[in-house]
Amino acid sequence: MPSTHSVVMVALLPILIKNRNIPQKRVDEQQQTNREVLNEVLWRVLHPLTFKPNPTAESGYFNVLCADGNFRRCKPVLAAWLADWPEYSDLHHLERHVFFWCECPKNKLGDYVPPDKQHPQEDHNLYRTLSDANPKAADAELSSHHVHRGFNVFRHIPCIVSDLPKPDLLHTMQIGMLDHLQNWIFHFMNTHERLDKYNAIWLSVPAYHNLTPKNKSYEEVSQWNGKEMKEMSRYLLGVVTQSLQGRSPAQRPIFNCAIECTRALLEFYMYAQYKSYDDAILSYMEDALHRFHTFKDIVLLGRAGKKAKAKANALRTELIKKRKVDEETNADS
Amino acid sequence: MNAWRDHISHEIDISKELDANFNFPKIHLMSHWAKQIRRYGALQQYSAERHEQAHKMNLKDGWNASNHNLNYLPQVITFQRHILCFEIRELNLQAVAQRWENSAAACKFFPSGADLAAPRSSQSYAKSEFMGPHNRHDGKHPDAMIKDFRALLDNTQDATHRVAIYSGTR
Repeated sequence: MPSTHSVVMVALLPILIKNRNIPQKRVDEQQQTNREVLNEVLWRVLHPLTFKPNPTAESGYFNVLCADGNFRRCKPVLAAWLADWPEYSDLHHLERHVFFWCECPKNKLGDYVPPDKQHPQEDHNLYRTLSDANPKAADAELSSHHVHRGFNVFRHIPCIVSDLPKPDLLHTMQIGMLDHLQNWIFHFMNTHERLDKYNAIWLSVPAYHNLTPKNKSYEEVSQWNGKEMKEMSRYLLGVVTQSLQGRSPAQRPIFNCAIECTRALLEFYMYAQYKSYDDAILSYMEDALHRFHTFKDIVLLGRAGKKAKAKANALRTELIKKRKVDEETNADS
Repeated sequence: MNAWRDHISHEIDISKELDANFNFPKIHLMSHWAKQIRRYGALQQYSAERHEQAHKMNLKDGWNASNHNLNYLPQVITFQRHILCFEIRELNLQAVAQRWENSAAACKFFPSGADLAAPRSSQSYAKSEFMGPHNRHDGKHPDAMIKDFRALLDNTQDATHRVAIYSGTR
């Protein structure tokens, strides 16, 4: 029986006051209030499901009238929570830009992590006891884990809190990583003076099944949506490869790296879209990720600020000159 | 593996000079995916794409079809229910047609199966297993049951009371 995911609206969460509408002094205070309001509301929504005093085997089950008119014996379980990144931070009482599955330090997020050397999981039971404890030492430990103090409704529910967020293809890959990748490639093309060629090829991609022809280049589009990103992932590699044709021997390894980087990330995305997996496919997926991390340094320029980019371009011309001089002297001697 | 690194050494030097890094959460998220798939299955089912589509299809289309009054919510739900009912009806008809084809094919090979292919009354289609499992209560039609249930819901204002209705059906 194929699963048709059904969605039932349970509640609408309140829209909390944004930081930018309030004076700078009161930001922390307001955020604290926001967290309390959110948790209060969630507590009311989740209360009937989960706050069972005696979790024996039989408790929690009851007959539910389903949409097809039949009764089914159900036990509601909080299994997953799909949200955007900032919402995850709010829901888990974490500081911004802190990872929610494992305790990965902020400055190590970009590194490749082999599958057998992953960081320890976020331990919300510990955070709960620390939040309940009063002394200042607990505060210090909480802030070392980058966790906010206070009541969090998820820590009082029988579930693994750090497992609640599930990998989300739309937000992580389509409008997350693919968006970044496009940005990096744009800057890469810009620094290597291939942008015109890249844009021309980009615009000349013909219409095809499920593929709308583009009439705007990358920089002219202000906002990308998931569907466009999905389409883009199908021809990006071709566009990149073709616009990097005709290269000098010095450029060749650089361009190859950029193509490999693009290819690895797109491959990873394709593997992530599979509907069933076995160990072989998972190993291909891990391999694609490893390759991406190996080659990603070549597009690092796309992550830099404007000043750093200008500086880097000056540095590049200097280095290339120096390299040429070196090669000439080597050739002479 | 590192042979190509010599060729692009000046690029690497430049990137070291830059005050840039790849430290953003989404890039780290990917390294957990293989493990997550091993534990919970394919990622396709956790994509938010479908739910974000639901904002458009289930809510906005229904809102556009309503009379934009204060009582739009029942109208949105009814609109959605009509669409779903038609989809279920279509699936049922397809299944019935498929069964006829199958039994007709079976007749060719097994002559004794001829009575399987006999046309059935419309009443028997409504009770076929495609409408749901057999444990239907009181022989009531599903539509009638949903109607009763919704009337019950409409009469209760309090949210906690509604939950009591759900758990009262045990």
